[in-house]
Amino acid sequence: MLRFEFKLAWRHLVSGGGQTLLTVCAVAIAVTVIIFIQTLITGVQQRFVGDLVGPLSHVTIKPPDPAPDTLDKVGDRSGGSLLASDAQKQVQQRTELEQWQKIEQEVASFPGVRTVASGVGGAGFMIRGAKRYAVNLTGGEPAKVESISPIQKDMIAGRWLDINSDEIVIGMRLAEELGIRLNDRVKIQSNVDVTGTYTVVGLFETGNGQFDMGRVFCTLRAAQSLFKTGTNVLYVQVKLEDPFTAAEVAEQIAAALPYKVDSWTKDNGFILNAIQSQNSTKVMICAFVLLASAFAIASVLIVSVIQKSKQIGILKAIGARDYQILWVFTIEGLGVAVAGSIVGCFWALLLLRSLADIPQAARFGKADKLFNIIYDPVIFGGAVAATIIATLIAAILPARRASRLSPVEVIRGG
Amino acid sequence: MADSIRKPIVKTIGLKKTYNPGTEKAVDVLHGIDLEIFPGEFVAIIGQSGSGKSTMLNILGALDVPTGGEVWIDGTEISKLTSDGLAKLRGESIGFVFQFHYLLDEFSCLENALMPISIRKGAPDKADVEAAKVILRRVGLEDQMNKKATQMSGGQQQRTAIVRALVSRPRLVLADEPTGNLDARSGAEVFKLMREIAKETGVAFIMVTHDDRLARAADRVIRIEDGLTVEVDPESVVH
Repeated sequence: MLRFEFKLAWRHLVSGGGQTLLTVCAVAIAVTVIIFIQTLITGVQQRFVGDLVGPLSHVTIKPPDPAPDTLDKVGDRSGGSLLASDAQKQVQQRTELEQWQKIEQEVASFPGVRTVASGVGGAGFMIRGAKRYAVNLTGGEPAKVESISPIQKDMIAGRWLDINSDEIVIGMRLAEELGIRLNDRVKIQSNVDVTGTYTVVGLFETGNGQFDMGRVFCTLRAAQSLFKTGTNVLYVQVKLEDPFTAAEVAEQIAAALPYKVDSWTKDNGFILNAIQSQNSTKVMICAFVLLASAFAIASVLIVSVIQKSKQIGILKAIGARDYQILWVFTIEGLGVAVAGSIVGCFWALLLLRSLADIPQAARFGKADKLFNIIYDPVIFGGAVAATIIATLIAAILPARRASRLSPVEVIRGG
Repeated sequence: MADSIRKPIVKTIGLKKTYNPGTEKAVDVLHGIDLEIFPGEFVAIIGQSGSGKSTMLNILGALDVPTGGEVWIDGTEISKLTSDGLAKLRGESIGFVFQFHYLLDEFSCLENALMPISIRKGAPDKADVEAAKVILRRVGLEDQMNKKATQMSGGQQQRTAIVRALVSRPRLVLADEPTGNLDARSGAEVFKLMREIAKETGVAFIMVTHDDRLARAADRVIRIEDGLTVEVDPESVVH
């Protein structure tokens, strides 16, 4: 099938020599740029999301807000003189989640949920002699907490996953600030005025200043007694396979369960905006590169059709059908696209490999690579597919022009 | 056999051709031509420049369609055929030899000769290749078969074009000034070949020419004057 068309297209490409080479290079450059930009921006985004969203819970389930009073009730209470503040929601009362093990089970069955962890946490103070330092306590089963806010990889001293209820893990910067060393005992006072004494058995340094300065991890039991929740918890945290589906999953959970469900995206819209604008930039750059490459191919093929118009005329005179001529030039475009894509993938690999090893001087105090290069087959495949489609579209115009050439006009033209 | 000889390969009834019909630029070229050409005939079409010789050849070759009348080629009336229908008819029933050989530079002599078969079947089979080689040998191109078109002389290229016109075993070969671009010696050789092949194969040849010497050697001579045809005695064509 199409043997004649393939053969003629191949001969055209081979006899085209430098012209063919230039067109293949144009496609290859387009593929290289697309893969390069996509990989670079995806790498930056992954690192960005990892750094900012990594320690966050994607979806958090909390007790429902108490329903606000209706206006008539408010009116009754204020004796007819309504104030705007009266209609506001009441300040949330401390309510706990009971039967949290059941909630964990139910939430774990939602699609896209990776891990679920219940916990108790809140604001408090770390007291060391005369020094008081505001901290944020996170209490939960260490293994489960680790699945939501991983710190094991950032531990620089001591231990974390097997701590007891009288032991805590704190950030290195907090330890420095308060002059705490491993195995020192410190006092912690919660915002419900419960104070306890704990041994610091682990120190972590994530590189995120705020986190390292203010976060304290303890067991669920310790947190339950500090915040007086008994056997209940204050929240259930969820980590998803894809953090960008958080809003949808939160909606699904909220629809199914009678709790307040928030996604990380609700309070971090700026991150989403930044990622969206990066994505738009990425798409725009790729679209323009594709467009430029498509124009280059279309113009080369149009010239080729003009150069070959006599040949097309004679082929039609001796029996070639319109569709056969259409195929010849479409196959030529396809050949250029495929060859250009292969070369482009190779160039992109070389380029990315040369960038992958460039070290970064310091990132959050840790040595790292300058570029977060991930060789994603989807990016390579996508770039190739997009280029092939753009090239084919570019080839169709000249191919149609060729197929419509009248043999009489061409032959009489001499 | 006798039936097929009596049955014309080309028949026109009131053939008319007007360029830009219905516009101010309308030009009547052919005014109603009745013509019959039979298998094995070698017909020369002569006439002044602009008389409509090539227009008629294009219509007889199913490269163009008439604006009036009927044109029957190998039993098919072409007026209603689509572009692809005309191409199919050309591929199967008609061979062409043009003033400029129009071989494909990217292909060898043998591949060029086999081009109509490649177009029709995708690729020639062994029997096709052997048949093409026989004709190539017949026209003296046995040493040139694997050469690219650009590596051959003008006469050799035109002989390749003749083989290309014959390779599909057409019933009609149309030649538009086939020797017009060749020197006298090559031109005479090419003409002699066409003449011999017409006799050997029974293919009808219709040749447009300015060369009266070639016209005199044809079986029939048709002169186009004022958009009509006049049958002329070959002997009377003035050299």
